[in-house]
Amino acid sequence: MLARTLLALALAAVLLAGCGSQTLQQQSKSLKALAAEGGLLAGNAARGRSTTVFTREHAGFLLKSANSSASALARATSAKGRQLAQVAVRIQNDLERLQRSGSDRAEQQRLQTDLERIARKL
Amino acid sequence: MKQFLQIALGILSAIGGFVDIGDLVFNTQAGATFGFQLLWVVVVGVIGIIVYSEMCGRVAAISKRPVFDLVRERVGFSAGLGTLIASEIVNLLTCAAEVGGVAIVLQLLSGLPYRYLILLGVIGVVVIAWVLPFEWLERLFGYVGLGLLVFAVAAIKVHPHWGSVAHGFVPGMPAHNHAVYLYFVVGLLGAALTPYEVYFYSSGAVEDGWGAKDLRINKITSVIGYGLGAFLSFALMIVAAVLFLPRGIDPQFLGTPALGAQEALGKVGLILALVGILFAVGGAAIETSFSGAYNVAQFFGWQWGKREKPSGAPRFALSWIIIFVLALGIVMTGYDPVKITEYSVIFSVVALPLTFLPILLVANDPTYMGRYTNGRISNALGIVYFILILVIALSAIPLMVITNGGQG
Repeated sequence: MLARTLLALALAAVLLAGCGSQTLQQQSKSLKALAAEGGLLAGNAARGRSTTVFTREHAGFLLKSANSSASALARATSAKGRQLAQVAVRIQNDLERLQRSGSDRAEQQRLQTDLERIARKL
Repeated sequence: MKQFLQIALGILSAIGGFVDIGDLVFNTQAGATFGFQLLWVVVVGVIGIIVYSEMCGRVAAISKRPVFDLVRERVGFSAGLGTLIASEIVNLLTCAAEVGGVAIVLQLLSGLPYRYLILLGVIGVVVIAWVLPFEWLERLFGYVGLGLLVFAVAAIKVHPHWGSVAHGFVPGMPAHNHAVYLYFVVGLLGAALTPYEVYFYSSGAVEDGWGAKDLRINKITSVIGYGLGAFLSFALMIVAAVLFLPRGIDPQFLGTPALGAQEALGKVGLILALVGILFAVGGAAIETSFSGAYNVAQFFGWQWGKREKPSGAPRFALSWIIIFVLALGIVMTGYDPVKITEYSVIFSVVALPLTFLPILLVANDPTYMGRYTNGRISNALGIVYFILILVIALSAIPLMVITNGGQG
């Protein structure tokens, strides 16, 4: 009986926790995190401290997350929301370029600078 | 050398259990969110798992029966069945998360498509688990998983402020974000005290043929194995606190901890971290599937054990393969393994009392243990931890809802 109650409660919690939509403040925080992580990854790639595969694949994971943030923000109607949507698109573009950068260190250096600038501003 | 090889069970339990995907995620997120402030929780968690592992290793060595066998006998069929169902759900979710973790790391290493790698990863792990004898599974995953020690080197290389690190071992409450802080306390304890670790450890002790003469090695194995796991958890949290917190990075990906090793140690650090993570999560995938099969087989009284040929324990062999197949199905839906991990840790917290109470009862029962029942210190610690487990089990779900799964 106790086990069944605990299981039911746990299932309900999973559903409830998964239902929450992100506020603009949370979206901004998520974008900052993605830009900062992308900047760190690009910086390591630019200094030859990463493998091409890791840079491409990890940038891919970050990009996927940026895509879902961008889709959510595309529906925003407030000025702040639209502004964040533009930032999300810029992060998307940077991560896409990082994914394709291969061993182009100059490009990776540029992307590091841009992503870090975005992260600082958010 | 013989003793070094003997403690492999503890190292595999620690590497595959204490530092599985759940710990990698929760420790890194904890460091990136609260800096060094949650280091003390790892200490609380590791003492708890040492206390209970030592207890169930002793039970297995003396009674020659693993924990789940005794759970059913001690608490009866209904309560035993409840514990079995709860444990199997946690095992399955955790196994799915670990399988997904194996595929992600293989993707980060090879660049091949994720879906193929899930399949390849599961086939690889199943073949290894089928072919290798139990002690070689312990050694392969335990010792290659030691690649995670790269995080200890990284923790030194990132030059943390050691005074602040030391301060993190003193329990306290931050000025804000109380609910999220408590969610991480519960998550870190849940990740440290996962039920499958004790089931695997006690069944492994029976598989290794432990007896009364092995009680010393049981103590050493618990302390060294889980102590090592805690050491790695500290390292992960320190690296995240120094590198991710100031930048505002929120680690949501399995590659993020490896990025920390890369920032500190370059390409070599990255490769060692990825290989260490691969073997840690691969070992944990085997542990969870075996643990699930051990529980079912022991509950229903089937022949069980990796030492048995599959034809000698067919239902046991089929059970762990079925768990892998179900885990494969879950991961193939495309659900993020890191999210599955977070849920499985919270589920496991809810199931903890059902796992730990029977261990405490049996370890105190002279009918099973003779003169090897719990001493005063073991009992005091066991009871204190059981109360703590009850508190975190009751608070896990409300905290998960209030904090939106730790998002704040």
